[in-house]
Parts: sequence; structure tokens; C-alpha cells
Amino acid sequence: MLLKILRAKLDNRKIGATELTKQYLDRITTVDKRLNSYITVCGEEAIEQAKVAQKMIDSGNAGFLTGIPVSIKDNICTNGIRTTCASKMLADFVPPYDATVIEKLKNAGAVILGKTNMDEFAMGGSSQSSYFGGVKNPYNTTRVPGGSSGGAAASVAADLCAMALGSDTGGSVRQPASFCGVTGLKPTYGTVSRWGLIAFASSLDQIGVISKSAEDCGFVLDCIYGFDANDATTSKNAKGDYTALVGTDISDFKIGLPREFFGDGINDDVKGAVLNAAEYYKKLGCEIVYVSLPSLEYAVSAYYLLSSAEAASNLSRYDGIRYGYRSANGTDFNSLIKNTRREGFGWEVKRRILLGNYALSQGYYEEYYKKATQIRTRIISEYAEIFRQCDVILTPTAPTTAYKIGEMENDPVRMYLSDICTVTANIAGLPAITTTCGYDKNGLPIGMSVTGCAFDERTIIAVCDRFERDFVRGEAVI
Amino acid sequence: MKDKKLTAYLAELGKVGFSDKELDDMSEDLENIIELMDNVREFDCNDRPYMQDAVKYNNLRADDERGHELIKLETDRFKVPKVV
Repeated sequence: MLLKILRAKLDNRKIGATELTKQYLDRITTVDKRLNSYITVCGEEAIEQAKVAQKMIDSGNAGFLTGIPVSIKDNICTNGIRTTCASKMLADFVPPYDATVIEKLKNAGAVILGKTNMDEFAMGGSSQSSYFGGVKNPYNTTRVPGGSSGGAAASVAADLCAMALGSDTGGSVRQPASFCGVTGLKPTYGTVSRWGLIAFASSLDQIGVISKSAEDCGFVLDCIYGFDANDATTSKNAKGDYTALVGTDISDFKIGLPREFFGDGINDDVKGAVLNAAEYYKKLGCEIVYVSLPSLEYAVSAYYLLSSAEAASNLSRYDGIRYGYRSANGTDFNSLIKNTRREGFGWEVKRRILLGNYALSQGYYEEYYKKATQIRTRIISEYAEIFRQCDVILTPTAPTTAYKIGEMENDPVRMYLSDICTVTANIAGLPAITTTCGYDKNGLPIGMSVTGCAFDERTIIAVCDRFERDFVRGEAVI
Repeated sequence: MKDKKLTAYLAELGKVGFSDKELDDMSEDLENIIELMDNVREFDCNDRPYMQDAVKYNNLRADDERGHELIKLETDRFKVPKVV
């Protein structure tokens, strides 16, 4: 259900916050055994939060998110509630503090239903590498929900929460939102504090929102954005009031179609649906402009080199000494650490650590990591040129719809290549939002992405919202 | 690069233990992945500057002298009290 509708029901006393929370918790109990979208369900805490929210509503102090039940990806720290990153390494880790976004949600009176399942340490595109078992797509439980925020996306699509927070390093909010037929927003890098987000790749990570509409994403972003003294990478340029352009006339907008995003690697159903969406905008009066991002062919490689290098550094803290999993098989300091990391990490995480160390090591640094940073500069300048010609660009969110569980398990290269449509927004730090624009011949959702200039979330939300008002979206029946 | 020696070196750098069979499997994986990564070597960078962050940010606060127990020795150094 849309957040606006839930807000009205709560404010008009059609439903109480506690009753609403209990309904979601009951649905999680009934439905989630088929999806495995939650790792931890916070039943008692959620009811207590709902009671506090109801007091806020009764006293006239309710904000937009007061009493709204939400799910949180399990790499965002929640005080007193275990935060696992879907890894054996942190299976019993309970953070002693709340992430900044969690503090903001709590201050707003939101109700945290639980922590959602994901790819281990946010590394993956299918949510199958979790230590707690893979997640299933609510549209078709033989298919992946996408990743790494697959649990978050599945929980929204299956009405196991009203909205979700995920994290997006190379597409991990947008791609699962696309696969699960919901809306997902990755803000400009620096808009949302990463304090309390367990780091994967610090120059690329950004907390994002998954909900049932672009407007809802804007409402949530209004709550969680902002400069944070605890995160030096947060920007004072974030504007706020992200729904300001929703419902306004967008007919004078120029919408760019980058040629390279519509090549042979994109599924025909996906291409057709996104180009139909372009026609829709053209009929509204928008000008369609063909643009180019020539460095797209290097984007996936550059992304994996940059992100793996940063991950190799960020994950070096998991050594079994101060917290987290500790192997019982160490005979000395070195073997304790090696065995801890051998037993505590899954295969994909180990792959990325080794790839990252390869990119950074002597003899390879110049040819790989340094080149990747130069490609990053080139992509940033190509986007700057694109946005001199148009206001936003429209692209597929993923080359395909949701694939079968197990299909890409033994083919990491194919899985990495499927990030082609999403990684450049992270590389350039730009905001991007995905929404459903069609369904393939199997009835699976197809996502389109609207990407804009830095800190211009208002425009991409408005453009996406306009399409959503006329598009009849299906629902996952589960 | 099904180079088990290199994989073992990278594993040592990452402080990750592997059995012999795991080293074989990881070497095969890395060979395929690095083949994908190799296209960056073709990129013509022309000594293009490299950035480590997409968005320029400068929110660092000014240095803030704290702690009355610190003794300023010179313009840029402080004597810190012994901890142990």
C-alpha cells in the first residue's frame, strides 16, 4: 500500500499503529517462510515502537513516517538488534549503536519490523549468497529477487513492510527493485549518511529507499537525508523537499537515451519496454535526445576493480579478535586470523578480497586500479557532457528480468556483466531511480531507470512519478 | 592466469586461508574474472587525472585544540602525557 494512503488511514484513525504493525508481523509469519526475505524479525520491539508512534499521532505530533512499518537491510546497524550482513562472520553481532538513518527513522516514529536478507556483505546481484539462505522473488519463487538488497525489495513487493531501506554500491537497490516490480532510489553520493552502514566500498556505497512509488521514495528521503558530522562524506548540498516537483508539468524536460545502454546485451523485452516508456514521455511533450556514454564498455571492469579494492581494505577488520566469528582452529595469531576468515566468509566475498588485493598489489596497481580511477574520471566527465544536452537519462535498470535461482551461481563473470546498466551511477555519484515499465513474456517485471544530475533527486522523482501515474502496475500474488 | 602461486600470494595478502582444492578453484575463478578486468588496460588514459571520489566534498572542520594537559612545544607539535 502507498505510504500516503497508510498515512491517511493512521491520521484518520481508520487503523491504529499497533494494529497495523501486528498485521504486518502476522503476514511476515505466514508468508515469509516462502520468501526468506527477513533474517531477524523484531516483533516485540516493533509493537513497542508502534505504541510510541500512536502516542505521537494522538498528541498531534505525527510526521509522515510516524507509525509506518519499515524493513531495514541487514548491513545497517541497529542498536541491540543483531546485524549480520548475511554473513557467518557477523552472525551473532549486535551493534551498540544505531546508524544515523535509524536514529532519524526512530525520531520520526517509524516502526522497524526487522532486518532483511541480502547477499553477504552486499556483494552480489541475486541475494543467494546469504549465510541464512537465499531469498525468493515474490513474483515467481523459482526466480531470484535480485541483489544485494533482495530481501528489502521482496519484503516491499510482498507487502511484508510498507517501505524498506537498502544499500546501493553498484545497483543493489535498483536492480532488486526492478526484479521485484517495485520502485527503488539511489540518492546522490553524500546525500544520506553512511554512519552505521557496514562498509563495502566506501566511495560507492549509499543507502537507498525501496517502496511502491517514486513519491514515497521522496517522502522517505526527506526523512533520512542530510549532513552528518559522523560522516565526512555527507554533503551540505543536498536540497531536501524531494517531492517538490511531483505533479508539476514535465513536458519541457529533455530526456536522454544513451545509445550504449540499448545494445545487443540487453534483452529484447527489456529494450522494448524502456523504449515504449520513452515514447510515453515523448507524447507528453518531452524532447527525446540521443546521447552517448562511450566509456560504458569499461564501466563494469572499473567498478569491480574499484569496489573490490575498497572492499579488500574494509573487510580486513574481520579478524576474529575483537568481535564477530572466531575460528576454533587457530594455533597462533596468523593461523587464527586466516582460519577465521576462511570459515567466516563465503566464496564471493573471498573472490572480491583477492581481486581487490590483485588490483592494488605491486606490479598490477598501475595497470588496474589506477586505470580504473582514470576511467572513473572519464565517466564523470562524459555524464557532465550528457547533462549539458538533457535533464535526465532513461535506461534499462538491468539487461534482463529476474533469472532462475542457480542460473548464474557458477558464472561470476556473467553475474558481474549484468551490472552494466547500474554501475555508472555509482561511479559518478549520481542519483538514479528505477520503476516498473512493463512485464516480459513470463510476466516478470521490467525496470527502467531515470538518472539525473548530482543532487537533483527532485527531477528524477518527478519524471518517474509521472510515468507511474499512468502505468498500471501488477502486484506479486503470494 | 591459472596461477596458483599468485592466488596463494593474494590469499596471504588478504589473510584468507585456503585448502589446496580451494586454491585451485579460486585460481580458476580469478583467471576468468581478470580476463574481464583486462579490458581496462586498453583504456587510453592520456595521463588523465584520476579521482578517488565522484563528488568533491570538503566538510572537514578546522583543527580544534583540546586538552589543557597538552603542552605546545612548537608551532606544530604537542607533548602528550604518558598513558602507560
